[in-house]
Amino acid sequence: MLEIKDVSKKYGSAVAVNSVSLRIERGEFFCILGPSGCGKTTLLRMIAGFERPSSGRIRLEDTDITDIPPYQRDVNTVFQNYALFPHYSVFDNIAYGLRAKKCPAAEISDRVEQAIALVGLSDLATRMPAQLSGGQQQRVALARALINRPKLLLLDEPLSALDKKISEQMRYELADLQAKTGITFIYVTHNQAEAMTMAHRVVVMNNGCVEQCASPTELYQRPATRFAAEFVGSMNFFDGTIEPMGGDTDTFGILLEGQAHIRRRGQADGKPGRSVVFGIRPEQLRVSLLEPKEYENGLFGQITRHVFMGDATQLQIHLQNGKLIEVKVPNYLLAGDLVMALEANEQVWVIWSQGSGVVLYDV
Amino acid sequence: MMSRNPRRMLARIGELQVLLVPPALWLLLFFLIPVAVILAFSFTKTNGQGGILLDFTMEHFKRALDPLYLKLLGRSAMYAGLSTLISAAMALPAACFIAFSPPKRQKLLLFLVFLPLWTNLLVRLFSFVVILSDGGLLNQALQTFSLTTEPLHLLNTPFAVILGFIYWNLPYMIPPIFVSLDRMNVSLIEASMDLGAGRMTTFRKIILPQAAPGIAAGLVLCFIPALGCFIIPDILGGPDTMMIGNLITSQFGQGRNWPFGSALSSLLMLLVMLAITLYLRFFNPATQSANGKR
Amino acid sequence: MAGNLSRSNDLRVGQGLFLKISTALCVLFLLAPLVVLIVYSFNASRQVTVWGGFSLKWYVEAFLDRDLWTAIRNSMLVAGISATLSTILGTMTALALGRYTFRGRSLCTGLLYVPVIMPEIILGIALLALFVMLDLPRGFVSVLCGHITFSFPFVALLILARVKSLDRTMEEASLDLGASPWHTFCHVLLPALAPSIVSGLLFSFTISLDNFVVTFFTTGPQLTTLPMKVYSMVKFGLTPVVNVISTLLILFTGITLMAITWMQQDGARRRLGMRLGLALAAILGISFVVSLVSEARQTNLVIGTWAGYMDPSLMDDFESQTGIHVILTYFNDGEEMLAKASFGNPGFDLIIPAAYAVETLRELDLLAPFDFERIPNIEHIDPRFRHLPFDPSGQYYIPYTYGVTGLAYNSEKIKEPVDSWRILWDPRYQDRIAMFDDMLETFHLAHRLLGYDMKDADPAHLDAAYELLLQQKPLLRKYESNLVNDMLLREEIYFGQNWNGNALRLIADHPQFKFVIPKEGSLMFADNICLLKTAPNPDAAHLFIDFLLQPENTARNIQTIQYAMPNPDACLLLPQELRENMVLFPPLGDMSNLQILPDYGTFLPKINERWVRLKSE
Repeated sequence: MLEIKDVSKKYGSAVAVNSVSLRIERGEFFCILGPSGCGKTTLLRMIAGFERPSSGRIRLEDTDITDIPPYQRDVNTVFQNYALFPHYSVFDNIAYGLRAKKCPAAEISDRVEQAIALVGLSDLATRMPAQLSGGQQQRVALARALINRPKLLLLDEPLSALDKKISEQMRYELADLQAKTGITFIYVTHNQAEAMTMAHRVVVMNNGCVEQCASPTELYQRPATRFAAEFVGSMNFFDGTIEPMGGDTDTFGILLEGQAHIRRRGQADGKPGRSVVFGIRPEQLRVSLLEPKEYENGLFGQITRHVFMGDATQLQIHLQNGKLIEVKVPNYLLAGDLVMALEANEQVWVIWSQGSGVVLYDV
Repeated sequence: MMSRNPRRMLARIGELQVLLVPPALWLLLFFLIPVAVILAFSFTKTNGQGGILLDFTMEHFKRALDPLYLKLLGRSAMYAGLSTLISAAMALPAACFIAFSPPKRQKLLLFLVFLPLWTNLLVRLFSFVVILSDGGLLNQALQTFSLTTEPLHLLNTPFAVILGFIYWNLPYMIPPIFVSLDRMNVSLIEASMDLGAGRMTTFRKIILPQAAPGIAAGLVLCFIPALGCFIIPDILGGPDTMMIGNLITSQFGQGRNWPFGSALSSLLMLLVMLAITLYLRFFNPATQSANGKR
Repeated sequence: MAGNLSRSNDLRVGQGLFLKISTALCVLFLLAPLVVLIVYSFNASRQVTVWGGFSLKWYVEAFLDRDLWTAIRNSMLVAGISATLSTILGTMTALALGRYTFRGRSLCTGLLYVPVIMPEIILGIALLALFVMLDLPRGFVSVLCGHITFSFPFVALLILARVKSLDRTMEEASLDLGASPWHTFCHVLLPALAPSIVSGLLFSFTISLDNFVVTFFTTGPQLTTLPMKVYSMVKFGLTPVVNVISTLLILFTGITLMAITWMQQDGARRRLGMRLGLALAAILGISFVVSLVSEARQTNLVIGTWAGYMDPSLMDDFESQTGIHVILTYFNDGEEMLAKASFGNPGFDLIIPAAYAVETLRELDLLAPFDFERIPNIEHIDPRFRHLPFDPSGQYYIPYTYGVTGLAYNSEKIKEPVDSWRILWDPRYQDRIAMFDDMLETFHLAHRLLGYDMKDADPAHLDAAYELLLQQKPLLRKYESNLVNDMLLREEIYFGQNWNGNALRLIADHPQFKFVIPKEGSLMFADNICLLKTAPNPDAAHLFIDFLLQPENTARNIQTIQYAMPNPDACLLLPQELRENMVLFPPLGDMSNLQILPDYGTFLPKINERWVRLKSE
């Protein structure tokens, strides 16, 4: 449906978007995730037509839209600050696109009524934008874009200006709306929770480049890069090297930080001696006073900090090799006020299954 | 503790008065009272020798409302209005261009627009004498390109006066329009184009309404000074370009008829109030934001 | 993101060809006059519209013109003081309105806008009325009051915007940290307001420096600011010196702005900017002190006169002999002189009224008698002129010049014989005719052509004269008294009412112009020097008149200004062809065709009413 091919955008010598290629399917809720300044908004603005790629092409269905001005593209945008026209009422704002296309007046009022009803603002049609709350403005902006029945709806951090509660509620509404209308959404955000909640697929961008493009589950479970792993959730990282094959063919060994030997299920992607990064999420770890079993990995250390977080407790553990790692222990194990009755400064094993953790080869 | 509070309050009131009284007195003494004196003068009689008799009369207003002087007032309003509108028409595209220019060019253009303001108005008018006179640069140019054979009569005409006003107004007209455009959120334009409106539609339906307060401010800012101006018709005008400002000046000078001059000034003030009332009626920033909150 | 439209560069919004061209035209329109001024300041020709080659002589002339420097100094002084006081008053106002709530606050704020929005002319005449009513001298103080009145509301509004946008927590933090309110004011509030205070100061300095209208109404002859000087140059005789002044002003502005911009940058540019700024300030300061010191030692004599009516070199000689500096102020016509001399405290020592005006001035009791013991050179004056009807005592006037109004024309353009005023009504010469901007001259002429005598004060005659002039008006290029020669030279007019002396000065260099006294006859004038009762410096006035009446000096004066003076001893010193020039010395024997303007008394307001109607029409 939308094909972005080798698109780059340079401002003088600064590169905002660096040779990005993506395919987005019809009816998809697609999310572009990344920290501010990663080029995600620039990419969106190029899709909308506000900016022209320095190189590369953008195709929508079968037409090359790279050089088509925004007002001739079947693409509409919901802006971060909504960009409602302050001198027009809600009705006139929503009708703007249809009027620009010279629709008959009767059709306009019908469709505007529908659009207003769709976003639940039926009582407010005559209000001016300045008289609306943030959430209401957000809905007007949505209705204004959707009424044109675009092939593609672009949303530029639309929830970032809203209160936490309203913004969380709007996530579900947006997802429902997308499902109901079937329009392809491209949603730009720096908030991983929004991406995880709504998107079918997420692309993580950093420094103008694509880090990974995958479904939310895969992104979380099998991050392809250290950046993707860190940006979505949190992860403990260890430098390591692949060890020579042993007798066991189901697993391979990794030497962590030159000291600890661990095993990971699966096949090593590279010869022994190759440097890798081993990553494991805090919630995949558990602590124990007992040594690990042979099908588990374990590292020994000392608890240096307890952080009670309500649903879980975050433990900071100082490993023998001097490294600090985080372990997240669910609070159903809470005994009194202490996790598993562990004291501060208690010496413990940090244990995980041989099937957990990711090995990143390109480091 | 109890005794400190009132004393502090007293000190606070004192502070306010120290700050407020000198400027208030100044304005009273050097603006309000003199203007009141002018208003009062317009009801007094003349002694025929340039002096004033403290007798009430309406004769000066009656005389000022003579069709001839009303025509003069109308002419003043016409010159001021026409030149203001033309400058607005010239300023709008320029202000747009400047507002949308990259910062460096924007700075340079604004500097160039402001440059004439740093040169004395009389000097700039004098330059128009050089340009517009029969043997002046414009006529020389026209004749060089043989567009005319005889020199065009440009100086000492209504054309020269209006041109002078436009020149005077333009640097005052561009900044308010520029500011209102510069304040505008750029995504409004993008939103409009995104929704399928072309460049002209976007200009008409989005940029123009956003620039409107600036245009209105510019119109008022230029119209009122032009209305009371007397130097421009004096230097660039001819026998039939007299304006209300010239008439007032002449009554306080060689005409030696202060009451009549005062009556004319009162009429001018009335006209100014009318212009401001119209402006506030349609473009009062205070009521507009109040509307927004309702 | 708002406020940065230039971001959407790829859409090229607002950068289209049409906008580009209109902006270019706008800038061109704004800058072309400035460029013309600069280029023509190097013009060798005295003619301001004709290019005569490259020359720096006008720069030399401007540099040597001490009155010009005095005017610049005055402007700087007025602007400096008024900007300082306006900034203080403005800051106080802004603080009071921005930081306190009290009843009437919004009224006070609204009131601030009134002086800003009112046309300047209103403030000008209002202050004029105030100073005249209080009988205060007009000059430095009155101008200063005027300038502060229009500039401090500007400053107040500027700073008020800043005060309102200030974050109060800053002050609270300061108070919280134990600073006293005064310490907080000095170290927190004032630094936060500093940028707006500085821009207020600069802004009020600029508008004061540039102000003409309020100065025009509130100033007296003792104080000429630069805009006033430029006005008098533009109004009473165009010279390229005006171009020089403007070029220097533009240059000065440019350097100042450059220094300011550079000071805001970093590194070498900043140092350069600082140095440039310091150098400018130093030059200003030194020239300021020098001119103040030289001014302090100087006695001034103020003469209200007509443009080109005294040999400037005589003033220089007088000053080197006595140390008294002569200031000349020009009037447009006799009525303006009467007005300026009669209201309040005018500040003139000597004025040069026509015969009828002497009578009026005496009736208004404005004149002081001369002490002839102190004017021994009075003996050189023709006794026939000593006791004229308007002052038989002869104590209140010194005869200065006499002459006649006639018709100057361009003989290259007009081939037919010119002997009648009626040619000024000939439609063939539409737009090529100028009449004096002087009601008595014009109405006298109209009466004469109709065969009436204006002395009869007959309203019916006046109406007829008015109709005649109204009929002529569409043919006129302009009503103009002072620039007739310039307009003739530029060939904008072929005919102009002119005085014989002015015409002679023109003909001396440009023989194609001719001067006639038409057969219908004309107006004769006899101008006199009078001493005002309010004269600040009557001693200097007596000294000056005695100096002026020395036959050698009078002869020089006659040769320069080309007007006759009733000083037979001086005439003997003139070259013969001048002595026998019938235009310069109109024969006093046959006066049947010539009339001296009488005092029209109560008929004057009626003439004036018609004159205003005529000009308004």
